[in-house]
Amino acid sequence: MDNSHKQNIVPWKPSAPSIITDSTTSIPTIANAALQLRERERKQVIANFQAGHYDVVTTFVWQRTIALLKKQLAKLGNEFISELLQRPDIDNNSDISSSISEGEALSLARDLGMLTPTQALRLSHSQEIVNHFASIEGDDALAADETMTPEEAISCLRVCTQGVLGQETISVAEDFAAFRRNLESQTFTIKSPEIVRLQQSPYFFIRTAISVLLTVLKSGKGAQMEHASRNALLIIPMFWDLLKKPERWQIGQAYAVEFNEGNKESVKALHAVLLAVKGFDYVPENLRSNTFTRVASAVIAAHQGMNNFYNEPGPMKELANLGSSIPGPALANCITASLCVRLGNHYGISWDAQNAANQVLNSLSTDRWIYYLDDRLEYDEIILYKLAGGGTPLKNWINLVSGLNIDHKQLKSKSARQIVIGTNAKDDSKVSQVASQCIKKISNT
Amino acid sequence: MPNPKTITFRSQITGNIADLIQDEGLVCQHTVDFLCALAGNLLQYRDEGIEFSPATLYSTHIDDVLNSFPGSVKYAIGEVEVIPNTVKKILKDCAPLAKENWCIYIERTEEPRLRYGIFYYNTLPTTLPLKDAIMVCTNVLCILVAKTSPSTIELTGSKGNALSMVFSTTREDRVIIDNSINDFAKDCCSGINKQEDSLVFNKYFSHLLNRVLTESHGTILICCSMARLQEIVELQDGVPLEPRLDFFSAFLAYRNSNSAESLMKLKSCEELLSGLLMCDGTIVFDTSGSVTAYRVFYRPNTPNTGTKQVADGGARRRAFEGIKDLLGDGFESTLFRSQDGLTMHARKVDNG
Repeated sequence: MDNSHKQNIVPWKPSAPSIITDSTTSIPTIANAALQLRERERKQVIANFQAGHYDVVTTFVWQRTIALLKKQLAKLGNEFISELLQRPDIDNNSDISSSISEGEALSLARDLGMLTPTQALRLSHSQEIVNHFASIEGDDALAADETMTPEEAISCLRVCTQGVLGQETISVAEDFAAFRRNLESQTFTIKSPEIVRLQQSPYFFIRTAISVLLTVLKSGKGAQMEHASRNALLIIPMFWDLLKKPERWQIGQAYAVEFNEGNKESVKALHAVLLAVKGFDYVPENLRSNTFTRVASAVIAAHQGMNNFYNEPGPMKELANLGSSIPGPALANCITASLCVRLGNHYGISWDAQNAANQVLNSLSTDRWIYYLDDRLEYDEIILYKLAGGGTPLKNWINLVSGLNIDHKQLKSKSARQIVIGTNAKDDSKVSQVASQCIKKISNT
Repeated sequence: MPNPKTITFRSQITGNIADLIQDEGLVCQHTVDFLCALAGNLLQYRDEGIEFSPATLYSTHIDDVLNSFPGSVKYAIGEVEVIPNTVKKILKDCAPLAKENWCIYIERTEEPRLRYGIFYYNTLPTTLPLKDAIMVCTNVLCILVAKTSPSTIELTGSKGNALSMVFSTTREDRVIIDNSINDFAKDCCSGINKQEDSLVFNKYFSHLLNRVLTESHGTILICCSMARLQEIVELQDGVPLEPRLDFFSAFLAYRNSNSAESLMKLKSCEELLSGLLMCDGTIVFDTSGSVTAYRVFYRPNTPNTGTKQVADGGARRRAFEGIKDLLGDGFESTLFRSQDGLTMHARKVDNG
């Protein structure tokens, strides 16, 4: 497939327009537009704002927002969420509201067209602010004037209302829902509009499409399965050369899981796909990676949640104790999780978790670092935001990665190469700039 | 002086194997002769007095087949000509090794010659059984040769063609392979609340019963509630299992914790079931996937007055016919498996 003529077509995007403009600063206007809050709650929000209780009101608004978003995501089905997040630990008995982190909920909502990329970005910023002030409450060491500013609070309320609380219904983009339906109700051809659009869209749409396809293959029956099988045989080989290794592992992992679950029809369909792309190298020998993925997700959730400095050591030590032979399908997630702990956030690092994080990161061979840098970094939003934001995380990144002496010529990914060049030269601004470009590319919708 | 006449099954078997491998996409008289000899040798293969019944995979592209089985490992052992006489050497070299999850592979090369050895793949309780797993590999010739009862050798191709060779004088129409075992397994799971795990359990339980019955010398299984069993005077001679052998709980524990301990517990239940099937008498299951009693003997309450037709066959078959009459009201179904592999399932008539 020739990628030089890509037009960055967006196959699906949020259909509901924002009811509050970005320039709105009036608290009553914003609060009254929050349809998902009760009348009494809206009045309390306004009253608390007027009383200057910014951290109280933003924490309340944030929690309502994220709870609502997770509730909507749960409606998509646990199997679907599990595949999209590549979290095999999520099954039909899992409670989505507690199983997925806030960061995962936001990135999923953006991928499915429930939020615009800008809203997702702003919500991520709000999350960091809210979690920071919530977790330092009662900390005597903090300067008395270090409190949430009205601007920060207004920004949080506005984006929560724009993205979630102000929407009558929050659902996946209509185009996406139709795409998902069509995957199991009709057989696409190379000329089908869905396929043509997908060929010209940014990578993360392809990644999402593959995840959706795998979910349908796992859960489909009868005619649904036949359509999905034929569509998989068209779509996956078409994009195989473009697919990064984590996505290839995802397909191989799906085959191994279905084989071990004894689902003959799904196995047949995935076998045909893997045969077509000669992809059996990506079928893991066992399902040990599920354990690694589950613990890595727990580390990331702890890192992104409240009181992260206290909550990171537990899962991070568990990850380190699983051993240094991290299975291929879980490798990218484990590196991301360990980097989260090692790089920390703007407010510092969790000291108690550092030994375990270093244990995992120090055990990685150069090949494995190159695998991460080449195949994951340019789409690893969690780490990219840290690099783009500068400060402590970027400083820690440069200290860590420059010490690995990675030769940038070994890297195929242009962005990763630029980041490594900047890192080896200890050039903060270059690393930050390239990371920002990567984020922009992901969100280029 | 009249010539003595000797008959063998060879011509019949050869013709049917030739048809099977042709339907699977290979025309090769050497292979036909070889598989014919293999089937004959597998029927009662013994080494140093010990009987072995290894599952054997015959393929033209064994690496492609094994690539499709996650976690597969193979050990090459030797290479021989494609002639019937080499079957003995292959079995001598491999059969003692091909136990539990290990199987024999035989690869026919272009020349043609046969490379052989043993292989293994990860087999968790819910993993596709070998017979189903080869059907995924429709792109290459792959035939599974396995002994499915003391007198039956079954050949199954990756394209779905199957040939069951029963080395007995039983009428062919009585050994039709049907869904009897799966239907019985479904009865044994009928009391479990419908949830996702119960469907997976049902599939697991069917595979388990198929496997253990293949290893058994024939038996009768009963699906009946414990309360009802205690009321049936004809089935009072038995040994209740206290506590019951609860497969569903063991399976759920394995699914939820995925730990080595839970897997071992489930395996130990399977081993015990295999042992119970080796005992005389019937095995009683309830509708929640548990074994509740074994060595249960059928004692007719009333002698046959001669008005009722006596079934053909041995004591087990006659017991099955008697047990069938007890079906109904808590006594869900019964399954008969003869030494020849004849399998019959009888279920209570639902009047509702």
